[in-house]
Amino acid sequence: MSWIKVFAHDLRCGLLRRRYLLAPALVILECFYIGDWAVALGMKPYLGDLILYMFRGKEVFGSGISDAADLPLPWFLIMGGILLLNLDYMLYDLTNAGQQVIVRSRSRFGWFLSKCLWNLLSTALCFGIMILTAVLVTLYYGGELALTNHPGLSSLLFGPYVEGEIVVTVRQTLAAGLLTPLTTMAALSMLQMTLCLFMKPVFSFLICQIQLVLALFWKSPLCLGEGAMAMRSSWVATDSFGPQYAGVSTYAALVFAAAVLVLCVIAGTVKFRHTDILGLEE
Amino acid sequence: MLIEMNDVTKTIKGALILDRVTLRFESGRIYGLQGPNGSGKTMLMRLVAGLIRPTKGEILIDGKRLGHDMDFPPSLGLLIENPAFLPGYTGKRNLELLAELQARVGDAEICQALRDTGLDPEDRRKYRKYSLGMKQRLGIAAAIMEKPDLILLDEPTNALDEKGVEEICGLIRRERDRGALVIVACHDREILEGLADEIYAVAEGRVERRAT
Repeated sequence: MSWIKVFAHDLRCGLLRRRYLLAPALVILECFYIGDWAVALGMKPYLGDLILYMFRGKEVFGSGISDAADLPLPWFLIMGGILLLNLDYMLYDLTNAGQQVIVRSRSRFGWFLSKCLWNLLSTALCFGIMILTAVLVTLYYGGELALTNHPGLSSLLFGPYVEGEIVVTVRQTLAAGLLTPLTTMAALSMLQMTLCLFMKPVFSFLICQIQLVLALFWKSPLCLGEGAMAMRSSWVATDSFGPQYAGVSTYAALVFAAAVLVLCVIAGTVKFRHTDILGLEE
Repeated sequence: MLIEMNDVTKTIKGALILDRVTLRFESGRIYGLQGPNGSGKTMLMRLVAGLIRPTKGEILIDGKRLGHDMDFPPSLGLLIENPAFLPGYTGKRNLELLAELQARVGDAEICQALRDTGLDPEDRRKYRKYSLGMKQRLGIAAAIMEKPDLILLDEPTNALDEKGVEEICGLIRRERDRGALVIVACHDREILEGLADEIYAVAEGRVERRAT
């Protein structure tokens, strides 16, 4: 039997869920925050402003620019929210109707591969809903649906890194505001799902949250969350504060996230081959 | 079909669930597993279904090693623990979705399985509106609809009234007569004695054959 039929089951059961309606709630406050600021300054926000603000993250900690140990709550809410939305489907399915599906599929590999694809799609769906929310808020304020920023909002978007006005190109917005955060989140979500095969989901979720916190306060190429922060992009965080505070290249962040994603799929496939499939009460 | 469990031990998180179990199951017979809750009946069925792996020993299905040569038995109908279906679909639609996975049976077989278990194929109620007894019947219908060679039923008479128990026992016998290998776990000794060709007592992880 083709794993595509198992995937159809996952699309039906895993993607048609009311919980995705929570995705707009994760970003709507940030969107209105930047919109209100723009209006207060006599401007109309661009779509790029909202997207870059949603995924701006936090400047390099210890760079001397801002050493405040504060969490960028909007960014954390978005990242943590996507992880939470993706947390339980695989195990829920495995202890419910999915048991009938897996024995009929006759392939653990196919079943897990289908869950990996579901995970990618689910992350992309959350992301898409968030961007759609940003589009609607931009229209609400009468702004332009342009993937660039309003120069007058530069300091609001990038805080202490930017003096004066800068224009973020469409390519930079696509890379640092869309593609890299999406790939990074997909990798983190896949890591979380794979870890669920080794430990309880709550611990898997916590490990990914810790990974995000480490990415905020510890600058390292091994911190997966760094690529999901527009402020850590090398074209914003230049090495003007010293090479150790320079941002990550979009290319490197994409390659690292893709590598983690592939490794998680391989590790999950190997582990799931020997995983005991138990019921809820066991 | 021939299933051989050779010296199978299963531990989960350090707890001994099954201890050196050696059994042999053949087609055309009903095997009963009888024992109190927590004795290991369900785990034994999960092992045969390929859902869990033995810690020691091996399970052979027609000479092929489960977990090595195959992930799951090639022709399996299963009702383990409580039946679980998609709550927003009718019983028939749930069976159709499951049947699509293997594409072995069509509408006629699905309707027949529903009727055999006392359900109405035309019933438009969603699964979430089903009574416990109806859910149980739908679980059994899912297990038999594809006419599998191996049928595993864990407490199939749960939530059924006396008439329902008789109907389901008759259905299980017909599956046996068709040539299927049926393993039924039940804590009710009386039901098993009237149904099974062989009964095995499961207690504290050990399995012993009982006279029938």
